[in-house]
Amino acid sequence: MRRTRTVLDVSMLPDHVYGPRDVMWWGTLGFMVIEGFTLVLCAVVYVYIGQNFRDWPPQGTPLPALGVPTVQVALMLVSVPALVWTSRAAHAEDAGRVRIGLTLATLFGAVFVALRAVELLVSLGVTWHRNAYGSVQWLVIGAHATLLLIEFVEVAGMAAIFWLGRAERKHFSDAADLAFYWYFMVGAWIPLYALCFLGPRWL
Amino acid sequence: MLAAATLLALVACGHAVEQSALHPAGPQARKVSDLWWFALIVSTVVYVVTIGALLWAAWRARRREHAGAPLPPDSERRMTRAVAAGVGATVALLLVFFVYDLSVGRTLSPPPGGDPLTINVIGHQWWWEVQYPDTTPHGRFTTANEIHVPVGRPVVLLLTSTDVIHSIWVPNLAGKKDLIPGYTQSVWFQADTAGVYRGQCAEFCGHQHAKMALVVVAEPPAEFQRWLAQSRQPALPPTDSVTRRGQEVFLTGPCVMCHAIDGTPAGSNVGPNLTHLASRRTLGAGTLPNTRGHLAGWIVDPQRVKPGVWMPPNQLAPRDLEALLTYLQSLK
Amino acid sequence: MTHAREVVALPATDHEDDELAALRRSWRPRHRGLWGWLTAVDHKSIATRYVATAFLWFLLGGLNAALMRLQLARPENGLVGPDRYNQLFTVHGTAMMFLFAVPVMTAVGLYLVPLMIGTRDVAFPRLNAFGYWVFLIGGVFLFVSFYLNTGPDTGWFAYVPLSGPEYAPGKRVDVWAQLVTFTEIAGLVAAVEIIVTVFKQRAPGMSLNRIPLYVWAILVVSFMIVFAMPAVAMASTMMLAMDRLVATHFFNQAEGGDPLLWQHLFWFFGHPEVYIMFIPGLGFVSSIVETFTGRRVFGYPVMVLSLFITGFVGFGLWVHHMFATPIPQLGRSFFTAASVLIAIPTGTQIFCWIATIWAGRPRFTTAMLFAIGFIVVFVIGGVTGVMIASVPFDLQVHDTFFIVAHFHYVILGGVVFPLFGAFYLWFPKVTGRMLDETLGKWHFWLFFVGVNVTFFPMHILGLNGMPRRVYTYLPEMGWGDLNLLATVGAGVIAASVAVFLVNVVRSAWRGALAGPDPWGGPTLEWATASPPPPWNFRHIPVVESGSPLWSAEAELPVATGLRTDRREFLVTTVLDAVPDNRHEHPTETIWPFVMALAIGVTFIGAVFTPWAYVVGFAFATVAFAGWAWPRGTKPEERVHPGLAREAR
Ligand code: HEA
Ligand code: HEA
Ligand code: HEC
Ligand code: CUA
Ligand SMILES: [Cu+2]
Repeated sequence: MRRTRTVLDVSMLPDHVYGPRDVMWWGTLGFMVIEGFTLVLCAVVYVYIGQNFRDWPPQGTPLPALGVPTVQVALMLVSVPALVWTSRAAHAEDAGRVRIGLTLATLFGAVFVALRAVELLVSLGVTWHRNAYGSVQWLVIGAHATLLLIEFVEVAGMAAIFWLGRAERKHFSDAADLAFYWYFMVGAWIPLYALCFLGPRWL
Repeated sequence: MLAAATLLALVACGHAVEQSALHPAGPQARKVSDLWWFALIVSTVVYVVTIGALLWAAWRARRREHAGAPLPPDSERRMTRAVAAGVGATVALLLVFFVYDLSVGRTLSPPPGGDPLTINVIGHQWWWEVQYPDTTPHGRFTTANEIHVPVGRPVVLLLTSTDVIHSIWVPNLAGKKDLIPGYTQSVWFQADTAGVYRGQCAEFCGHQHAKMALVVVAEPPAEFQRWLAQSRQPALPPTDSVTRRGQEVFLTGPCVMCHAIDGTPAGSNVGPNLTHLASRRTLGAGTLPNTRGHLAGWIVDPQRVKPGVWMPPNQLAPRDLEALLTYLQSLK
Repeated sequence: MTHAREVVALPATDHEDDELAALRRSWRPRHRGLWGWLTAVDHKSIATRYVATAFLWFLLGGLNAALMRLQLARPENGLVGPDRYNQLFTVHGTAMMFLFAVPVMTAVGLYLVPLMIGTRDVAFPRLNAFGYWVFLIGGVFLFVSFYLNTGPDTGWFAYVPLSGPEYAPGKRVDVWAQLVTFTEIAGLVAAVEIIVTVFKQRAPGMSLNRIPLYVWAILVVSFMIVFAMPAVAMASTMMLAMDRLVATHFFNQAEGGDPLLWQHLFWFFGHPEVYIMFIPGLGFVSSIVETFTGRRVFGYPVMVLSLFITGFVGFGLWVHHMFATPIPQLGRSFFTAASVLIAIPTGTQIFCWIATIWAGRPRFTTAMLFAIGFIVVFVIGGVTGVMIASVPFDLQVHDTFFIVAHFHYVILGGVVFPLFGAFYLWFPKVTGRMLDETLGKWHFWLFFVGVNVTFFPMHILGLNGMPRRVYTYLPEMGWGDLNLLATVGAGVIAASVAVFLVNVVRSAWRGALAGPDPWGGPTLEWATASPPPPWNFRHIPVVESGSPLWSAEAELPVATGLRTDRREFLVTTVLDAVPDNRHEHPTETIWPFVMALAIGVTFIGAVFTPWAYVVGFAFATVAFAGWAWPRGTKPEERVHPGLAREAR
């Protein structure tokens, strides 16, 4: 093996950083890109199938109700500042505030998941096996629902880690990454909401 | 090497059956085969030059001493020039090929002028339904697995499918087109020489994709007209006791559930229309020659010929079978 | 903010051996035996078994091919019937594409990338282990189903409606759809691993222009995976499987669905897929040529650019698989143009390698022979690829044996030749022992002859009218002789693969010892022991050129200062690879395996009932809790409310 010659000492570098300096952040970003692109493809499928129909929704299929979905979107927008606050607390490494923020996020997540169930089962007014319109509505909304579920489980788990006093410093940047993912989840839903709930009225 | 091997093999395999893209019998297939020979020659040259350069480089360099030493600038420059020339030649050749390809495409894809003959072809697992439309009801008729066309007149096939995707391909005449449920596509060709051209389903469609063939019979216009007139006739009523018995077997047996014979109550199109079965060349979608022996074998156990086929085996008393065969063979 | 300190030559002292002992203590696998195997996270042990597993699927897929060749050797042969034959080619194609060609490439990448860029492991070692387990479960699932006679039988691209609920009752197609899910999960995981590792863990000084070409190749491929695989995962898991399981209507014409939608989604993935397996092969060839000519590959920037262009344009080609469907004329010309265009970057790279060989002093080792064989075989497939990019010509040969010939030439030439070459090049690194060169030459020549004898005749068969996916043909078609020849060729290939297996087993057992750098290679993997220790590099190398081992004088510059009392790796900046922070590397754990089991239960269960998703989600939640829950941390490392940064 080669003899070596030391030219650099890295022992002074931090072992705990935030955002793009951290590898975890890049991992989160990677999966966001994958999921985001999947949602884009879902939307493409939606439009493609839509072109097979003269009426959208087809005759005999009710228009989706707007009430609950609109409340959902509004709540999602409201949740964002809460997560921004949590993320700030994480950067400040304030376990007390992070803990509260994550609890808030968990509650939001639970409400989102419940409302999502109502959106699918009630507001939409069509099952997936009625026709291709129903199938593709369920596809888009369902795909986004998976993100909701996963994020819900993650924030709940992180909240538990903080409440039970098991958190280490690295969990602050994990919590910040969860907030990062949250913005993505909300941001992705807005155009999809427009597509699935407003689209059938306006297209 | 490429060309030599190809030529050798082409000479080696005789063509008992006409099913080859290299023996064009019409303008469509001919233009494509010209394109192929052009592409083959260009590719062979490209190949020989590239591999020649590779082998020469390897050969020349094997005696060299100065591994790793930086190249003198002028040979670095020469290398750059050589690579750039290669890339330039590639671009130029590809451009030529692309333009040629486009021009072939443009002459082939628009619908033909003149007065084309239109035929509907409907794909089924694993046979072809062929309808000759007409303005008058008695001018229309349906047949299967055999398409007759007049020589020298363009033919347009309107393609669709009732089950899965199939693809019609008669290489001597034209390239293939898919038959897709819910879509109607068209393909056109023209036969310049009379002959029987075989074609085969090219899109995988299940168990008997391998045995879903058809023949295109290109004949002089007069002969074609005769065939047309003949095909428009319903089946002749049985004339003797054997064929009468045969018809009875057919009409009282399971056969009516799936087959049609015009002029009789049999009218289902689950299976091929048998009105003029005896005038067709093949059985089981181009799988067997249409002889009495094969017909018997087919009716008794089609699963042996085409395992998985959608026609059940039939247990018939020997005399009934004989009568049925005689009847079916009378359907000219 | 703290920066890495420049150190001016530190004398070696005794504490260096304490350092080694400390490294050994903290990096030693925590468990032994079966449990150790299930909990492993080291990228080298994961990647090695990944490669071995993928190769096993290659052998089994190849066995299917051998059976198909025997069946086709004579007209109206009765060795297998249509039902079995359809499973044979579907499982062959599926296994080769989804379980062999792509995974083996990402797997080799997971082994090599950390070594070539000078880091200690991939970015997320536990995720990496998870990916492997998912892949393993998927492969076992496919082959067990196949041997139980429920193998998928609608072709490797499973066109609807043939694969839909109406025409493919039973579970065969569901097996296919879920197998795709498994492999896509594994593939996406590997891609994220590789991207983040290359972005953030390159050795100090390895700026963009010093990244080895192989690493560029695998990086481009990882990006392609990220954008290609979601399409097929969505189409198979969320659409095809759902049409079959819960009666959605995505592809059901009668209810407004569309069968062509499947083809678009499949090929939007399927075409990039072929470059996903091919581009790492290009990387291998660059490494081989570089090592055995003793000079850097000519035209480095052009090579990198070519990789990017190929990866990018590769997404604009998918319709060339669908020329026989209703596509507007203009659209088809666009896809022809794009397909023709892609010959330019590929050709450019070939010319650059030739120039490198011309300028260097090639050593004709087995690896080098495979690199040359790659060019000789691949270019045949490449030029037929350009031919079939032409719509009129493709309409003649589409779905015939001409296409089968095209893609086996490009795949065996562009994927398998480079892969075998890579085995000869890096086997010594992985095992510490050399592969035998004499057996290697036998392997090469048998393979070279076998491939040509098998696949060349298929061009002619296709032109002479033989469609693909036929379980037999009539004697009067005149295809018998050439088919027989192809079958003989497949036998020769099998013999060469057998020679290779013998060589691997024998050499691993008592091959000549390799030492750290048997070939005099240019890149960092040769700077460490063979096989490398769990920590890869005792000190992280500092890179000062594109071929660090050639340009470094007697001594390799390194960075010190990573902690040795725990597992740590160095994180650097994305563009210039400036040291930025230290990251803790996880220890062995069983949870990735449990999580993979949860995924397995979910998707195998989903073949039978939609409730599997509910059960699976619950199971996965448990696995996730086990995975993420902090364990074994000392109380003083924990954080508490009221302990804000300012206070500390
Ligand atoms: C490793 C995998 C791989 C690679 C690299 C390629 C490379 C190419 N492929 Fe291939 N292809 C497949 C794997 C691959 N293919 C598979 C698996 C299928 C079938 C799937 C199925 O149906 O089951 C397929 C099918 C396929 C089709 C569809 C055929 C059909 O179904 O009808 C087409 C059509 O355009 C095509 C084109 C091309 C082109 C233009 C290239 C180009 O990238 C080739 C470029 C390379 C060269 C041209 C050689 C080097 C260049 C030079 C030496 C310069 C000089 C050259 C010239 C001037 C020409 N391929
Ligand atoms: C990576 C991709 C890959 C590879 C490497 C191969 C390798 C081979 N393929 Fe493959 N092939 C495909 C991808 C690939 N194929 C695809 C995608 C299809 C299309 C499928 C479809 O239509 O859906 C296809 C289709 C296909 C067909 C067409 C089937 C048809 O349309 O009817 C044929 C026919 O000859 C064939 C032959 C071969 C042969 C002889 C090999 C040989 O190179 C194989 C060599 C390997 C061996 C012979 C194994 C050797 C094993 C041993 C020596 C020991 C075994 C021991 C143990 C298991 C312990 N292949
Ligand atoms: C359940 C449906 C069914 C029944 C019942 C059935 N057939 Fe068929 N038949 C088919 C189908 C489908 C084909 C096309 C098979 C193929 O080539 O794939 C066919 C093909 C044929 C052919 C070959 C036609 C050609 O041009 O290739 C003949 C002849 C034939 N049937 C005769 C009969 C007779 C006689 C009976 C009754 C004794 C019968 N069939 C009963 C469905 C049926
Ligand atoms: Cu019909 Cu293949
Ligand atoms: Cu392609």
